[in-house]
Amino acid sequence: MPNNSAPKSDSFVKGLYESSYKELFAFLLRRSNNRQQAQDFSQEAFLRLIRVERKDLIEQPRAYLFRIAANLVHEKRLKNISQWQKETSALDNVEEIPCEDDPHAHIERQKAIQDLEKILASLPPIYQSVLLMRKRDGLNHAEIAERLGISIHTVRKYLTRAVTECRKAHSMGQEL
Amino acid sequence: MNTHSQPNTLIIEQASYWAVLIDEGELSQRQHHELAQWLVESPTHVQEFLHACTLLDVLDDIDPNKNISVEGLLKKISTPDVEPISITSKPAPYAYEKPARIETKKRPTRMFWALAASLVLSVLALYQFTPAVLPLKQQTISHSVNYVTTLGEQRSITLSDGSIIYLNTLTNVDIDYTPQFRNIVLHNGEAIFKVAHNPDKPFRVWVNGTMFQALGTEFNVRSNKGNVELTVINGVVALTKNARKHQDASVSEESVRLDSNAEIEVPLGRPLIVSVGQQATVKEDGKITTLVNADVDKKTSWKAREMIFKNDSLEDVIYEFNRYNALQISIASEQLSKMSITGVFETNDPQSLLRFLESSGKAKIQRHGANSVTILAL
Repeated sequence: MPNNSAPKSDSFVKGLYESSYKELFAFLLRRSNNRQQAQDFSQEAFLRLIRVERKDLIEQPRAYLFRIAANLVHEKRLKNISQWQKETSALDNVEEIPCEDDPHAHIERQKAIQDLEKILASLPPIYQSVLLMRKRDGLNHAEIAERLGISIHTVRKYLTRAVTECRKAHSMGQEL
Repeated sequence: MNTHSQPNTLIIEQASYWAVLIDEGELSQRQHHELAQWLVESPTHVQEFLHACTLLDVLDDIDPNKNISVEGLLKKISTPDVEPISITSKPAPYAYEKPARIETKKRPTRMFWALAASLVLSVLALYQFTPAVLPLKQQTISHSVNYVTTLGEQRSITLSDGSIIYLNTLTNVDIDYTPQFRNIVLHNGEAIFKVAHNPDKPFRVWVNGTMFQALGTEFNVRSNKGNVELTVINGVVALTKNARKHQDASVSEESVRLDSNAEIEVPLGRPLIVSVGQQATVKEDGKITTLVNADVDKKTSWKAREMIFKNDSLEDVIYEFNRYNALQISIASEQLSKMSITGVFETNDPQSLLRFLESSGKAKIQRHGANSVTILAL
């Protein structure tokens, strides 16, 4: 396996994977009972996002949004919302959120991994292939393109469809 | 399934796309800007984006022991055929028949893999993208699958070559992939075609005798009251009237390029090249009218279940509403039918138009039963 590939995204979450994030992930992945809460967090994150005046200055929209949403989870835990409202406009200090490990979040993640393995197996082989090459084997898009003899554009298209299918199947699971 | 909890596929796809881009590396300045713009459009966008990022993160940890062999998966991939990979809305019961799949499993490919394991991937790429290397027997196989949408129904179909077709209300298409061509027959209605690039296998849409050939592009075709209207969203489409079945209408010296607003006669068999942002309408009498600056947003807003009107006559506005809804509206006033309407409406909300008309003080609404109203002058 080549080791010159782009960093895998685990650096993103593992870097800021404090308990609020874990809990947020759990909310986002959890079945029926907490879906409403996940929606509430997204809704609130959205409201805070649109209050930011210079959105073009947000350098990492993903980290930024997760920060907002994780803060919200944390706020909820502290039941002290006012204290945190001003904090969401900066991106630093991401790791400063106090943590208490949540074993439940860990179980949710394991469960999600199992679910996704099942969903993956039901996808067309080309989608499975690109997802595995990217996520499990850590190849970047250019490397996948080269291996398959297709364009980077097509690789991204397949990955996008694969994630779309996972997302749809995942939400079907939530309905059960 | 509860439809409220499932946002539309387009949003999920967009969210997935951004998550996939971010998953690989840094976004460019422009992409950052686009993503931020997209996120602030709707809380659903934020939610789906978070969800897609979360899924991609969890996917890092699947199959840690590498039990699944990518090579094994790639062997299974068949040549493009007409089996759809996904269908996003509930199909009408008669609309979707799973095509017979007789060819994929028994293909005599195993010896290739055994003989040249290291060449597996390049051979596969050939296999997938140049049908010419297929065994002769398979070249004769051609399926045709029919898709129909009912009144008000919209649906997208993802084909195995990666192309996507969005079907609008009351639309009927046949999908017929042969080893040489990807053929789509639009019997009636309207559709957007997002074509996966494959120069070896032209993608062609047929409406009566007119053929629209695309190579890696996106375009809308609407067949309406004998006229066939083409709007090009991306790339280039070659339009040929009275095309022959095996004609490959790629860009050549023969072709005519659209460069002004006009009514033109294109010689039989000669392709007219229509580029991004342009529109060409083949009239019932065979003449073609062209627009170099088409309103692409307006022509494609149906995909988001919206209709955009800009100084359109009430008559035309009502015609559009009637395409989508069981509620059929008619106008009893000559003067009102010419009234100019500007605004954005949801396709399935004719009531908002009726309320607007009533509140304008110029019209009154007469209801006859559940599915019929007449607009009268006050």
